[in-house]
Amino acid sequence: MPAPSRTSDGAAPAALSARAVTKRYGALLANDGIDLDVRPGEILALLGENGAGKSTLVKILSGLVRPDSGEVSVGGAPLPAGDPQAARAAGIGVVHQHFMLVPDMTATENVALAQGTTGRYDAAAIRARLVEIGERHGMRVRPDVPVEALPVGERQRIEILKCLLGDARVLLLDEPSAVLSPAEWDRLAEVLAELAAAGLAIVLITHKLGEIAAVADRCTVVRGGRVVDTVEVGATPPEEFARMMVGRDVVLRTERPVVPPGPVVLHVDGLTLARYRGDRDLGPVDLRVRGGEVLGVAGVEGNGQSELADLVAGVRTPTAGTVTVTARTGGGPGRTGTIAEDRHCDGLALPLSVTDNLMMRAIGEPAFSRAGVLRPGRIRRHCADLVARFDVRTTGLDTPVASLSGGNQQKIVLAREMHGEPDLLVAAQPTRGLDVGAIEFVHAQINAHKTAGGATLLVSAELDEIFALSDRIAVMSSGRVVAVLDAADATRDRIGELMAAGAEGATP
Amino acid sequence: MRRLAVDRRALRGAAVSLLAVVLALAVSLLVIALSGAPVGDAARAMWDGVFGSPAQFGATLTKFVPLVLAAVGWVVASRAGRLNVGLEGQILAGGTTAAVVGLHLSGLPMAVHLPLAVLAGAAGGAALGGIAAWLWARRGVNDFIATLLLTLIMTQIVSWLANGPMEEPTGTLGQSSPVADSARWPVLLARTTLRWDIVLVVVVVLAAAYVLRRTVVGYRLRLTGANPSAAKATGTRTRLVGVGALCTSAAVAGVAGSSLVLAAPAGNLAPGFSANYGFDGIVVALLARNNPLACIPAALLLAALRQGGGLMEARVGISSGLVTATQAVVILLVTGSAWLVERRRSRRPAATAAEQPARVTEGAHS
Repeated sequence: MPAPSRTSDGAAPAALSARAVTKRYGALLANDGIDLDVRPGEILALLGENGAGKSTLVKILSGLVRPDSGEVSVGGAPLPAGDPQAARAAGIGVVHQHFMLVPDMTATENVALAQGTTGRYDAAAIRARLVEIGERHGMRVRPDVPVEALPVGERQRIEILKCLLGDARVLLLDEPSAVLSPAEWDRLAEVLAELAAAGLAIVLITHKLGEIAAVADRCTVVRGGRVVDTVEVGATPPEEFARMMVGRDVVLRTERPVVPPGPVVLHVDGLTLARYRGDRDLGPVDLRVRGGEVLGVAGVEGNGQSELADLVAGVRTPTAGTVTVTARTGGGPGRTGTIAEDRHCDGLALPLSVTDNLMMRAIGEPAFSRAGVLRPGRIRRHCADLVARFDVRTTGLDTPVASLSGGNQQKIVLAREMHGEPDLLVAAQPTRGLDVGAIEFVHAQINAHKTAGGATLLVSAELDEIFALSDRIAVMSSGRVVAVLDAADATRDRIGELMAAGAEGATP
Repeated sequence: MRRLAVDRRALRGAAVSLLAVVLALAVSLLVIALSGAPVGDAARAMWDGVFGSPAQFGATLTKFVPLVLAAVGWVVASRAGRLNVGLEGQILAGGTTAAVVGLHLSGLPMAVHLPLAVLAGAAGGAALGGIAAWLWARRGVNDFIATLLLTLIMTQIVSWLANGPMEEPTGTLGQSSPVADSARWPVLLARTTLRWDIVLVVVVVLAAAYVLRRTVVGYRLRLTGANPSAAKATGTRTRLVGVGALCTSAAVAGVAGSSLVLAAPAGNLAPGFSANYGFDGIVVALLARNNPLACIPAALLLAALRQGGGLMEARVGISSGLVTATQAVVILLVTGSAWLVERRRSRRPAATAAEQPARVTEGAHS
């Protein structure tokens, strides 16, 4: 692998460049004339919000999506559009956010598979190279253990090694920190710096400002499918990045209403779920959440938060322990509303209409059906009212939900789940994949629920969101709640330490 | 609960189905021409076979009845996300139980005996479908496999019954005696095979359309079919819905089976009386795009092909296998075009699912 010096001048040929890349999906202009260059030995951050067009660009760069117009070239030579094999052969390696590894194969086997080997392959040689290249760049992996038994951080290193063994000269990493604890991220940052020093061109896709300052040399900011600017990281203050990314000044902390706590609404006692992931058990978990209170659950993804939300929402059945929801007025059974983590999978029926999706829970109520027969007039009035109140932008009540934007889909989930004032709201990743306006709307709804005396269990991978909304913060690690802190006492560092302590990355 | 937007899609679906049929017929005519047979004669024979005389038309409608019923059976299961490919077996089961009731009860007035025999048919179909539903719900057996394999078993059972326990007294014909007259559908059109069981079509199709569109049960069924996880998460008992849909679907097939015995000229149980109606019913439902009302025109068309194909074979000497081939072309075109329509429609949602790449103009899109 040639190793040009890190201090390449501007005239050095770009390792990877995109020129006027445009991609339209129906009415949505995902990429609008995007230009991007990354030089050998450089780490370029691609910064943008969810929905800004980053993922589309990555797919175009890696040949998975064919752009409507524009060109991608590697080392000056243009790549055929929409050809992932050609992209890989030209030296573009991608580490996807969701790993592309076969769980019950070892690292060696996964690497062999990625090399496109057919028939017999020399396992010993591949294993030797895997170990050697891993050692050289400070990425130690166990080559003979099935990857499903490995911690996430190690799986990610295998993904990177897979690219390196495939002679990648450009490395694209899509939101690599999403699955890592802060400590694991620090390790990865060192590895990336090391790889850049060895001459690789690295593109780090992210929406987290802190990561850019930590590793990137330059940063290309995208918003609404366009490049806002490309700047030197060292010369730019963080607030400037935020402003460019969002397109206005960002209030980093929204006003959190303080509500006098009511009676305990959610009682979680000895909640256990055996083998929720591999051989890992969840719990036992004990929690109390009062009316007018938001309990945030923080943790590195995969440490049991999603499962906890499912158990509390009643979607999964615990191995042991109980979840009791009582009315916010004290005593009596309470109602639960749920914002499912994956709205496409558990929250909506995409082919069905807005109306059908709004009625999932309430359909059996006497107001909407009598003796099993629907009352279409009342149903339509109710849905029209919800659509207006929750500001759902749709062409009509009969429009299939699949054709709505993510924000509007989430508003439909909210409108449905908030109907009838639930005593407990379980909100799992409530703003995942939403744009700023929709995020603000969802936060406002959660705060309104709280002000009205409802209890909220909030699970989020975004620490910012946890801090913005929570009165107390529970930190989960390896399926256990390791601490519950008052928001006033919690700091980012403290939470980070707790997340990493005993997290699956630290003790496999 | 559905108006303009959906109607436009339904219209497009109907147009695609119609186009598929026209193309399939054109392909068939081309094949006839290539085989050297006179195309004009063949087409005329086909036409005469369907509309040539009251008897022919009656025969077409006679074939139409079990086709629609089987198709509605498919629709009910498939709207809930279950694949009941064993309609054929459930037709056999329903015909058998209807025959048992028709043969062994006597002295009842028709007003009691006939409905009883039809209900027995429904119960027989539901019982066989129930086995598959139980295997699916409790043992995790794929519903497709379970219903299909039960059909193979049911075929053998009917064959054994007709040649053994239920065979007529002389024991030579390999079929049962005719059922009691009080259990047979009266003739609707004189000198044709058409009997009053055609009213079942009206009842069953309207009931299916009403239940699917206007009742809580139908709503839960559609919801379960569209996304079982979301249905379950919001309080629908999806497994119960699946079992109910499979059993109801099988019951409707069982009614079709009862018609094939109680409204047949011979009025008895004979091996193979299901005559592939169960599988052709799936084609009808496919052509009707899972809409119960659309099953009527779709079934009329397939019944006409079946009926006209017979005469075409007799008169022009073209194998009625060509009709089967035409059906196959229809299936390919309909499923193929459905895929095309889906693909065009899914582009935008795909983008939404990926990352909502949208212009962020301060919440204008949110």
